[in-house]
Amino acid sequence: MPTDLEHLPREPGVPKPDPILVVDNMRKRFGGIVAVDVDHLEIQRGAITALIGPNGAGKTTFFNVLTGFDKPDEGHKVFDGETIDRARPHRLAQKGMVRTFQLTKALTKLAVIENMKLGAKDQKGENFARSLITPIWKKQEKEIEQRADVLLEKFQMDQMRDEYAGAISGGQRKLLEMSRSLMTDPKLVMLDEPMAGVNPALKQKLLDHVRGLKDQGITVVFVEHDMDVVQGISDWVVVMAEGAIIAEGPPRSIAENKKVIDAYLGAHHDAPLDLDQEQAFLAEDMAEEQETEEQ
Amino acid sequence: MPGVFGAIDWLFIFEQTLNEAVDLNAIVFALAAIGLNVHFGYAGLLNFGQVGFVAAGAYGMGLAVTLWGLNPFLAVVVGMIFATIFALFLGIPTLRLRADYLAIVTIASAEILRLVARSTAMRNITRGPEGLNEFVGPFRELSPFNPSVSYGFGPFTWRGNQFFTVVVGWTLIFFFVFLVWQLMRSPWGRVVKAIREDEDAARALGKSAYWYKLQALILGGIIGGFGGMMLALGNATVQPDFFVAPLTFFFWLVLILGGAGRVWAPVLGSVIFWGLITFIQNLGRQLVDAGLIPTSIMDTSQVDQIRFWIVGAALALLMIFRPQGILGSKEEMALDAH
Amino acid sequence: MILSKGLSDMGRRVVGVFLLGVMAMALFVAFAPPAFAEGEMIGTRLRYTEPNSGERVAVSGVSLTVEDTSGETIAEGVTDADGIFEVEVPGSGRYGLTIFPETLPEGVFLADPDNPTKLVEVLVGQTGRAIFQLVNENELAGLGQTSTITFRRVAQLTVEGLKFGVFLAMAAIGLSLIFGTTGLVNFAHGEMIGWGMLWAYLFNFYGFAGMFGFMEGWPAPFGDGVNLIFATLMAIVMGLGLGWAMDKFIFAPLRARGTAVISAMIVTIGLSILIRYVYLFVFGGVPRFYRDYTAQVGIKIGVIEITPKDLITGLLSVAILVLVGLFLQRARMGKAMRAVADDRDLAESSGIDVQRVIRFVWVAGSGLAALGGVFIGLSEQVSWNIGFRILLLIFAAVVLGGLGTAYGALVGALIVGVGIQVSTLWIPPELKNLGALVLLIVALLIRPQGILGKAERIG
Repeated sequence: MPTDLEHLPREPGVPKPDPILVVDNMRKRFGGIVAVDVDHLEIQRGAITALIGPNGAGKTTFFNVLTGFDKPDEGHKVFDGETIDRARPHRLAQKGMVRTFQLTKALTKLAVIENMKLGAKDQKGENFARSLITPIWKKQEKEIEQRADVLLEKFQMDQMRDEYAGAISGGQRKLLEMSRSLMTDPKLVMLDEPMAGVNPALKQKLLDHVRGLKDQGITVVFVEHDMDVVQGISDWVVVMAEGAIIAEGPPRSIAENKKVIDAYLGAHHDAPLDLDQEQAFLAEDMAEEQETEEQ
Repeated sequence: MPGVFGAIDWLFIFEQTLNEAVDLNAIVFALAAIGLNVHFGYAGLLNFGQVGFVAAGAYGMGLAVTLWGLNPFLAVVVGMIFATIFALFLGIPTLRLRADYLAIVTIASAEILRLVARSTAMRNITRGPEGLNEFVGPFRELSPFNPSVSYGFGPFTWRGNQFFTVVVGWTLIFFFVFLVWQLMRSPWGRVVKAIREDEDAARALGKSAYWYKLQALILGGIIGGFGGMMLALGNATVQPDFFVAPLTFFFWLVLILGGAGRVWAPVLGSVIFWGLITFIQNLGRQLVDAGLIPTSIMDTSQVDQIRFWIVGAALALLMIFRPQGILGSKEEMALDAH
Repeated sequence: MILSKGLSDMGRRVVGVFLLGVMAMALFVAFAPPAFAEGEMIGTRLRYTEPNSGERVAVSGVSLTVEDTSGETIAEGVTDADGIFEVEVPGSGRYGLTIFPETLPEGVFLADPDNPTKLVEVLVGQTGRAIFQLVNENELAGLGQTSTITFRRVAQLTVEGLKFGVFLAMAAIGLSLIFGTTGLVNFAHGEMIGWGMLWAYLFNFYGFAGMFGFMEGWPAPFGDGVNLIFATLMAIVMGLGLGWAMDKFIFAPLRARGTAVISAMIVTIGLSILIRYVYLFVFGGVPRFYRDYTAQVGIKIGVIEITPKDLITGLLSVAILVLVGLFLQRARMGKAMRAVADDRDLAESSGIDVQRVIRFVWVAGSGLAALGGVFIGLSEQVSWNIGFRILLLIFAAVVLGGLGTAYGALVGALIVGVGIQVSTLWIPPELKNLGALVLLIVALLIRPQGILGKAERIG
């Protein structure tokens, strides 16, 4: 548990008391660039681990490699005691490792409730032949719907349950994506920049929900480039730069780490931001997000 | 103006129009477009080679009789198997890749199929450009209608064998529309639609996008294959040069006209399409015959080309101005463009 | 909403473009002038070797048609008991004689089924003759396998493949660059190739009168055809204009509206069908040839033989491709194009006018396609549906090389060009294009990002 982590050595690749995910010698190259170069990493079960680093540090690629969306050039990963080197993303999700995306992936032309129901595992009606006979899946569908409604209420999204996911705001989509991932009964939730492009009020709400996940015993790993966000919420921080892990440790120790400060130097995330700057970056992020979605 | 209208046999044109709107062509197009609706409307697959599935179904059924002498029911199964094989051939290499790769491979493969079928190398099997002509007998024996008697009323009158095709064809249409409706309201349909919206999101939630896309490709392909089988039965022939690439885009127009992702869209689109085409072509022909359109501008054979202009222009204009078609909802379309 | 205003504006423009294109080509038909004289005939005699007796036997009852250069059918008929077909034609000049292979009796085939039309030169007061080689079943089976594989043949086919490959590359680069910068697969790209091919034909035969009817009777280049070289330059100008118009009036507004790439792709399909069938209406279904440089005797270079026109256009293409390469590497706009293709957002934020770059890509790509079209038309024949046939080969080339990379298109085109020619050593020529398509699918299985493409990142 978190208190245990306080006493661990603060160095890259340090072994954890009860790791849920272990990564060894992971490499991924794009052309000439080494995007991921991780010798060893363990993720503590039941803790909130933050993965930070300046832009271009390879955080998202590392995430993609961990969740099976990208194939690494070499390396091993073990999830919950099981080797998952060749597992495809949907298999990992079925095993309990679920992820979200930096650019929210709401299923725009499905209603919010349908988005939620999609997340449920082992649905009988998802089999082609069985889907043809309604009575086979009707009962399970009802149960799933109830579960989805409970979650929606918890995330305060129940009033928009029948709206198209494409019609709700960007921040609400972030919430939807997070709550939808919980429908899979995950052991490990991997959140890719959950706070990017979210207004400060919603940010707080999201942080609360992330803490809530931990309280339910779900392990959380999240990518973030803003060091301030990390301070308040995480039990352990992993810092990436140029594809490699350069530091690990509890949040406070990281803020003082010279290597980390060097890595961030020149990037705009190194110092705490004032409100104006924050909003300027926010606007930039939102504009970026919109453009990418248009493509 | 009375001279203009007097020279034209409006009753004939309207009768033709109504008849063609529900006749064999409309049936074939509706079935092909129902298949395409599963592909594009629900699963978001860019299949630009639907005509290949139609050809696979037609050849499968035809060859089963001419080559292997199978009974009609087995022949239909062979038609379905051919369409499935074509789907696997297209899907396995491309469904893991981006959507445009499927588009390119499907349009190319449909053309491959046609070229192979008409090639001299395959002459002993497919009979080259002349195609298969001697398979329809066993099917017609199943017909309860007397070939020399006319059935129906008004413009909707057919001789026994044609009537049999029309009845079987519309039965199939209703069956497949029901099938698609049931599938798309089930969790299976939810996964397929989710993949259309965002494949990676579906994968992150534990759904094998690849497997569902393959299933959708096969299902839509088989439905398209039934279109080909109806075509073969109705015309009593399977000729390779019927299955040219632009035909796929006729199906696309039919689907988008009706409204992609709506259960009845392909059927509505097909009926309207064939009504419209028949009306315009008949009117055009009569105008040329009556000398109202000078032959220096257009002769009767060129009137038949008009349909390609209509299809091309309508497809582009619909996509620009009314991508939701007749049945689709504008709000839903607006969700795509921010 | 702003959208609806944009729509009606856009509507007018789209309709305007359609009408302009249709009108320009319609003028061309209206003024296709026939030339009259007397006493000229055209004909052929059909015979084949009867497989059992081994005798040459007349083939009767086969349908043929005669077309003039405007594609108008001026005579039709069937061969008589001696296998002879002869009809009078309106005067000296070039005619197309087309055989209908489906009317051949059982067991008789065209040796070259790809070319059922022969171009016949009829001189004043004489009968122009065409020869259709007919074969029996046994001979047919032997076609394509009879000749042994010699170094000379391999060399010859390789050179022909390289020649076609460079034409294809020129035509394909535009498609690849448009995809690279906008993500759009342009299915109307084949019609942009046909556009150049057909405009060159128009200028070659009719000069500006083909476009502006009132100029008929004026001296060349206004009222009469011009040399193909000049016609080619005109065709390139038309090509540049088409690319500009397509982006300006159709695709730039669609991008501005945020239309999904897939919808835009379906728009290109609609356009391609519309344009292709306008070509058919205007040009007719019979393939034709340019007025200049058609019948040339090949010159020998070492073991290979090549016609001067193929040699010159081939070398010219290589030079142009080198220039395109230098442009992409050195010129400001070339670098900007690569930057946009690499990362559009990054390019935009570093001050590149992305819309201008895209406009440039459309214009330049369309110009190259037009030129490629003329070269292919000169090397093979001028036909209305070249667009679709070549589009599939271009797809094969760009996917093989790597969608979106200019050099990939080049490498892919050369492989496809050489591949389809050399493959005729083993497979019948009628199936040669198939090899390219099969190659495309195999390539996707093994290396989907193409030879020069980069794997893409998710998320």
